[in-house]
Amino acid sequence: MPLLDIADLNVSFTSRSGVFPAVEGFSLTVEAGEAVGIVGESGAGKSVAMLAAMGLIEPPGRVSARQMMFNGVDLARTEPATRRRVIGKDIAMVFQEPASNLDPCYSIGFHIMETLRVHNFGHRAARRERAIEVARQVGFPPARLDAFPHQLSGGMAQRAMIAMAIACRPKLLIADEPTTVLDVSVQAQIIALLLALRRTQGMALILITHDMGVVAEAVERVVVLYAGEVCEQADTDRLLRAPCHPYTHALLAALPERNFGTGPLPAIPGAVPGGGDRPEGCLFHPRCVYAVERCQREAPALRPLEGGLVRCHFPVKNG
Amino acid sequence: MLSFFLKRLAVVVPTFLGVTLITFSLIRLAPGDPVELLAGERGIDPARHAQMRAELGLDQPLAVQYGRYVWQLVHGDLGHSIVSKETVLSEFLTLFPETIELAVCAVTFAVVFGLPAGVIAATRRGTAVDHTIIGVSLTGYSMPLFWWALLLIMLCSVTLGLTPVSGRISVIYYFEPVTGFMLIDSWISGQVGAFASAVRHLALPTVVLGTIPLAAVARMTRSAMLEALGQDYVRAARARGVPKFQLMTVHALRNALIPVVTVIGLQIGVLLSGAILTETIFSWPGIGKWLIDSIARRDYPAVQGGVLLVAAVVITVNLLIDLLYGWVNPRIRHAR
Repeated sequence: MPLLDIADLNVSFTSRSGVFPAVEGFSLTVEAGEAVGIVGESGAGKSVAMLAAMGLIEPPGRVSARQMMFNGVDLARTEPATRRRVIGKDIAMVFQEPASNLDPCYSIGFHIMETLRVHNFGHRAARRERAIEVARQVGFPPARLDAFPHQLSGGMAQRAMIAMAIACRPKLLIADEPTTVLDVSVQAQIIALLLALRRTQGMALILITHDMGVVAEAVERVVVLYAGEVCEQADTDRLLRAPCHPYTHALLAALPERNFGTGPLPAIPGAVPGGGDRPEGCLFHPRCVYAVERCQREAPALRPLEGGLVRCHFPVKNG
Repeated sequence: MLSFFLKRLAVVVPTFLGVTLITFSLIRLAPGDPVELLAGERGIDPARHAQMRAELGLDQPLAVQYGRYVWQLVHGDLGHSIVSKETVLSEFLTLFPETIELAVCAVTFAVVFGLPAGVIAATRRGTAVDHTIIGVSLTGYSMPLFWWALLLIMLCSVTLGLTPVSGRISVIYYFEPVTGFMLIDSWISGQVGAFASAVRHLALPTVVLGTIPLAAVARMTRSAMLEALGQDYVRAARARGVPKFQLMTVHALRNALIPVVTVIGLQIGVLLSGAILTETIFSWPGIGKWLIDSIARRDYPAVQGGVLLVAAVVITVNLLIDLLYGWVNPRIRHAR
């Protein structure tokens, strides 16, 4: 039984101009100890899907799913009180901007010990001890546990966020673009830290990113999202070597690393469709170089191909 | 920290000078003089009138009078009341606890009811509860104090007979003032019913004086709570499994307090000017009523000194609020 099994997750936001589907028919399974990457452009629904799994979508957002099984509990059906005991303890999340995700009124130590307290982790002294222990694990100097968020650099604040996340020894860590706002030199440290923790703690990792370089070295399987739908899913090696979906293909072709010194970078024209301009047929067809008449008419289904899943009428033939 | 205090002190001197100039001029612009008003309807012999004016130094040119006044002030002398012959400072200090008592009760009333009202409105945003709280607080904020006081007296004192109309305590109780605060003095006097009587006398003035601060606190708490609830750190706390009540209090309210404390500080000035009306209506023997009486008697030194002391109180309280602000907001605390 997988650790996490999300099936047919839908998240939509209702506004005055209508209903905007942010995530449609999203499915994902993660085995215990596995590392999965979710990639896609901004607005593809990567973060929203994970926030929905955590139960963090608030009205006017609407969440529905056939199931969201985690460790034998269906998070889509369970009582909020039951879910709260799982969230932060067995599933933890690290966010994109550490500075705004730390409460400015409290010290880092308070944040870590609060997490431990709400999940009934021992007594005060035990919590203090555990806070020092996790601070060491993430390379956060324990002497600075009394520091307030505004006194920390971005990299240190992200280490503090990670310390809070792993404090209760979660089975699954969701990292939502954990390095996007950090300096390049610090980015590599944080990714290395997450991978090391995953190994030593034996926890599963969902890494939301749009950095293909990180994907290549950090995760075993990749899910590519486009406009709220999964367009391709495959093992990392296969996906990077031989992408089947034209979108994945174009994403990889646009990587600077693959185009060093060969003239201007190839770009994907246009933008991810928003609420009001979702096209008929395949969502990607207006930007797809291979699109034909059928793509405008008929939405492709997600189907198995070359050991993965792809949502395309005419997958790219590699080799 | 020291340079912060020195900067604040540097602002205080011109403020005080401005206050002396304004009160000195305004009170002399009012028709009549203290001697005429002392004499009352009997009238006074013109020669005696001129003699008394000379004794009080009121025959000198205004510039000389102002110069003398400031010279006295610099030497720490606020002058003597023309009416009572007491020093202005001793009169002020005798009456000040009564105003403090009223003001503290009013602020407490405002915070005790305003904070929860704001929090409830924010958590029920857009519902009937929210609209009711906003509507009531807007009404309270716009309420003319004297009219509101008369309405309350009509309802609570005249119709329902629940509260006395004026004064601080029933005349049947007497005890020596120890602290000057009636609630404390009546309690330690041990006389049966004295404390209850003091509370009943205090109730209406507290409500009247506390209404505007209450409305201000409720509205600011609501908007600050809404702001805080939309912050990433509240969502991040939910992602750690923090229960809803703790999210509301430990995280959202704690951050919302920062602007609310500022608003409470700003209300101190409003409170003291409100005290003038409230004390007059309820015959509350505090600074406000004393100032109004002094103005009516053209008691120049009392008015000048009283206003100056009130200004000093407002400045001091605002300084304390600034310190409190640093305590509430860690980002300020460490910046200094």
